[in-house]
Parts: sequence; structure tokens; C-alpha cells
Amino acid sequence: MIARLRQSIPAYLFLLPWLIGIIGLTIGPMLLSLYYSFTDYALLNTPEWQGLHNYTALFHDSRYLQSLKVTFIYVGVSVPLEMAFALAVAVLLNRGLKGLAVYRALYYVPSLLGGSVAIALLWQQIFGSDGLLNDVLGLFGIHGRGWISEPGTALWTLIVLRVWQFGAPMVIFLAGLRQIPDEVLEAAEVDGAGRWQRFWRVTLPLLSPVVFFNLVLQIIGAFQAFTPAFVISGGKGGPSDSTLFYTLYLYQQAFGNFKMGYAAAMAWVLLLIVAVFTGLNFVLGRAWVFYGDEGVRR
Amino acid sequence: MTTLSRRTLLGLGAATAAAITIPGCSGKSGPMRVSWYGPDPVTKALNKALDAWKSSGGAEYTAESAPFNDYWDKLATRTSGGNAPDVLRMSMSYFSDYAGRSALKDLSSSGIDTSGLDKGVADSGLIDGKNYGVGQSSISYAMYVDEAAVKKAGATVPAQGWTWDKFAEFARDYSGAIQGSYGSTDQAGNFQLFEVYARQHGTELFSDDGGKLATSKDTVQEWFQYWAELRKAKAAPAQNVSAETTAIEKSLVAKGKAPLQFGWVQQVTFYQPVVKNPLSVLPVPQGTAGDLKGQFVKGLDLWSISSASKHPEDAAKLIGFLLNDEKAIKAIGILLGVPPSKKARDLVAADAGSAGARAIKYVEDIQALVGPSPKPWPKGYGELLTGFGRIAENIGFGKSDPAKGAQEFVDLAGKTLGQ
Repeated sequence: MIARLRQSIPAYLFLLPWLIGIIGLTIGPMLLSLYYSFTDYALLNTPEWQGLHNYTALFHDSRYLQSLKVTFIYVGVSVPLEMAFALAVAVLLNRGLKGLAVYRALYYVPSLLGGSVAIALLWQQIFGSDGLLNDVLGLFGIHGRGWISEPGTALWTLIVLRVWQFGAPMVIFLAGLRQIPDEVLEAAEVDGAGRWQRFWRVTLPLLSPVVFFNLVLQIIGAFQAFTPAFVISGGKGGPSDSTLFYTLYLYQQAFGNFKMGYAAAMAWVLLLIVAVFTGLNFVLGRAWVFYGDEGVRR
Repeated sequence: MTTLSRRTLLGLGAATAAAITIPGCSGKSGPMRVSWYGPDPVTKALNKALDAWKSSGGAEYTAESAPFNDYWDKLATRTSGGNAPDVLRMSMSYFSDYAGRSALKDLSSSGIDTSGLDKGVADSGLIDGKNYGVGQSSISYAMYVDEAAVKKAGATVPAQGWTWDKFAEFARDYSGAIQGSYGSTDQAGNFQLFEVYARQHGTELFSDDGGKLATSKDTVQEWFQYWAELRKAKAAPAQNVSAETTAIEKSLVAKGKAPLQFGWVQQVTFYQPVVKNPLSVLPVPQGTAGDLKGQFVKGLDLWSISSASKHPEDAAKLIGFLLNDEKAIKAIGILLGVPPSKKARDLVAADAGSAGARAIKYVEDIQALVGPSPKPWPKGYGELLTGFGRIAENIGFGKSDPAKGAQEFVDLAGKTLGQ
């Protein structure tokens, strides 16, 4: 027993930095935030216990409901679009293109830059009323509008921004496509399957675990989107709360209005929402995700 | 003498180590930290003033600055972490939040020399007889007018003031006379201008204890209605136009699309560099022409010391220096507002043709005519400030109307104040 413990000491020692990190920087703060979510905590005072009040207050807060709505639209529209785009480009790039590495890098660049403040500012320039987009539209005689300054269109510019960052899932799709054995596709071709049939009946099912992986990651990421809305709307979520993302409202409550307890409650509800969506993905995934070895069992 | 075992020695060592590190956790006293908010010119000016402090033998310091919005996020987290800067610039918008939660030090016996300051400014930081901040400037609300543009349109803006009705008439005529221009910018969401409007209607904005909204729902509604009508008449721009004019260089007055702009008096120096013609500084419209009782002169930005400061003496000395030293006064100019003492104003006003000199003259001219200064803005003011703007925006985009918006604001105030 002692000898075994002695043996594992080096292992624990090596683990120690990570353990300190996860306890000090993740688990500790999470537990603290769970506690704060049941308190009235204005950052500068000591937290006062008030039970479930923050949680019940959420559903009487019209701006909170607005932030939910904005976030759901954003996730629901941008994630499928981004995935479709990523897959389409990955399939195109998979066809032994000359200079593939260059294209791959080019398409991947937006993913690296997309979350940055600079790109959000660039977006502001493009979609402003005297921005690039309206200049281009002007060439065709179309009179543009202030895309980010009108509540009807502001959220859509942010959706376009996310779709533009399709590079990360694209690279993963590309890797997945490379895993599909040529023999399978050739066999399908010999059997008389056309290009589309091969894609739908062979490529996509074999790729489904990768699609699933991307979907789960992208949904989680989209729920947590913050920077672009923060920068483009100057931290307000405007115009007229049309880009009031969940995380943005959380941030406003915590640091703008000193309602840390309320914000903590929001964070836990968001965790719950993301958990439900991820769980749902796994349940639904059983119906369409195909792992190679399952074929053997059937 | 007993011999120490290895274990007790180890234990002793650990205890000493803890004793040394624990005070270290709550912020080791390095040099005094000074922090402020403001655009680039403000930062440059304050750095220059701090250089003067150093060269005249002042204590070591480190300085940090941030734009207004970022500053408050940072300050809130740092203060809650027991790591607030020693000397800090405090805005009246958040003053009560901090003072009321004892994050600021009472400066009553700190020895800061405030004898030269204007009365309303020296007292600006007073809450329940305790002084949590010293005013760094005298400011008042104002209207900056591009008189050359106005003249070109064949109109005039009365220097003594005019009524809101006359102002609306002017805005309509101007917009009609000059294609693609607006007689006024849209001020519906301007909570600070609304405070003047509320006082013109006979009440303060907030009750004396800060626990309630003192102005009536009708006044709020009337205000939203006034601007809605100006927008409808195209005398003020549509909401989507206003939504793009938040930055100074993108403002309508900078683009030559409106002849006037509203703001705190010292902000004229931020606008002047981007406007071709000289901007004159005039009172905002009134209920009765020439009656300036709605306006006030007050210190709305303060120097405060964090209650957790390890350098309270040096911090107090530095504040005294920034307020009274000739070199510091000259370095700061009017970037923080009109200087709060006669001596400072005389030192700064030398350049008579400048926008700064016009701002100073404006404050001196109206000082005797304005109403009493209001109490410090209450806790939750920051939330009302942004909420008012948001509600006005919803009305502007047709998602609400003046009556609904007024009700929404009154509800928000009820929820936010006195917490």
C-alpha cells in the first residue's frame, strides 16, 4: 500500500500544476459563482443570501428574454449556415487541388482573426451606412442602408461574421474527408452511383462523426459569442437591443450595473441551456451518426 | 533551553512564511497608483501634470488610464478584489455606488487645500457630511453652435437663450433651408440634458435622498414626445442616422450636417478640432427664454482616494498638487472641465481665441444665473443613464411610443433607485 503510494507520488507531483489550475481557476470560481447566484452581490459589498430570487427575477426581465431570443436566433441560423459552408468548401478543397495548402490556410485565416476586436471594427466599417458594402451596392444602383445601425439588420451582420469564420470546422471536415477510403467511393462508382449519390449515400454517412463533433462544438461556441457584439454595438447590444447577446447582457449586469449575483444566476442558466442542447445532440445523434464499427455489429 | 525538533522548526518556518505572505496578498505597497478615464488628450495632459509632480519631488507613482466605459468595468473588479488604485478619477455617474459602499476614503481631514475652489465644486463630493471626493472641474451643460453655418442659412441663435418652442421652430426652418441637414441632433436619449429639462419643470430629477425619481412621468413623456415630433418633421435625424453618430468625428456637427451639438461644456474642446468653423458655447434651450434656473454648475468629476489605499498621505498630496500647482493646472488646461478655481481659470484662459477660453467664459457668465446644484447622483444612476438612452432608441425605431417609454422609464427608476 505504502509502496504503491510512494510509486504514484511522482505522478501526482506532475499532475500538481494542473490540479492547482483546475481547482484554483475553474472549480473554485465556479462554486463561488454558484454561491453568488443565490445572493445580492453588488461587487463592492458583502454578498447577502436571497435564495432563488435571482433565478425567478430572470423570467420577469424583458431584456433577459430579449437576450435569449437574440442568442437563439444567432445560434439557430449561424451554426447550420457555417457548417454547410465549411462542408462545401472542404469537399471542393478535397479534390486534389493545386496549391491546396495555400487555399487551406487562406480559408482558415478568418477563424484565427474572427474573434478579434480588429475584425469587429472592420465589420463596422464594411456594414456602416457609408461603408464598403453600400459602395459596392451603389455600383449596381442599389441604395444601401446602415446595416449595423438598424435593428432589422444588425444581428444579421453578426451572423455573416460568424459564417465567414467557417475555417475551423472546414479544416476538421477536410481531415475527416481524407479518412474516407477511396476504395469505398470507387466501389460505389462501379455500382453506378452518381456524384450526388456518392456524396449523400457514402461520404456523408462516413463523415457523420465529424459532422457531429463540429456541430456540438459550434453550438457551444455560438452560445458564448461575445466579442463581435460587444465591439460593434459599443457594449450596448444595440440598436434597440437587437444584438443583445446573452453573454453581453450578463456582462452589462455584472460590471455595468453591479449585479454580480444576478449575472452569476444568468451564467448558470446558460450552462444549463448549453448542457441541454449538448445532451439533445447526443440523443438525436444516435439516429444519424454512423461509426464504422457499428456496421459490423448489425 | 529546549532543543527544537525538526517538526517544530518546519512548522515555525511555515507559520513565518504565511505571516509574510498573507499581508502581501492584499496588495503589497509598491508605489502609489493613479488612474483615470478619458480620451487620449486627457491622458496626455495628466501624464504631463504627473511629470511635474515627479520633478517637484513628489512620491513615486504608477499611472494607468482607460476610456470611460472600460474604466468602470476594471475599477469595479479591482475594487471588489481589494486592489483599487490609490488615487482615482471618479465620475458623478458612479460616485454614489462607490461612496455608498464605502470604497472611498473620507477626505475631510486629509489636508487637501480646497480653499480656492468654487463653492459648488468643493462640496460636490459631500454625502452625509463626509467628503468622498474633491471636484476637479466646474462643469455645466451647454450647446455648441457653428454660428457661421447658422448665419449661412439666414438664421440666428440668441446668445441669451431661447425657449424649447423657438428651438424647435429654428430646427424645422434650418432643415428646410439646407438640403440634407438637420437643425438639431436628436437628444431624446440624452439623460443629462433631460435633467435640465426636468428642473425647468420645477422639480429636481431625483428626491433629496436619491431614493426616488422626483420628476413626473408626464415630464418624461413630454420630452420623448418633443423629440419624436422633431424627428417626424425631419428637423432632427431619423434614429438610424443618429445610431451612427456616437463618435465625435462621426457626429453630425463634424460632418457639417447639423449646426449644433449638446454636451458638457469642456467637451467643446473635443469637438472643435473636427469642426471647420469656431463653435460658440451657449446655454441650452429653456422653458422661459433667458431663465437659466434649470441649469447648474457643479463638479461632476472628482478625485477620490480608495478606502483601501496604502498611501493615503501621498495620495492626498497628489490631489492637492493637481488642483493647486501652477504647472499641473497648465498641463491639464480645461481637458477635465473648466478649472474649479479662479486662479486656475486665469492661468488657463490666456489663449482668448480658443474653444477652451469660450468654455471658461460660458461657465463664468452663467454662474450667477443658474439654479442650485443638485445632490450627487444616486446609486444606480449609471443604469438609468443607459436605460434612458435605450428607451429613447426604442421609441425612435418605432418599437415603443412616448407614453409607453415614459412608463418604462418610471418603472426602471422604481426598480433601480434606493437599492
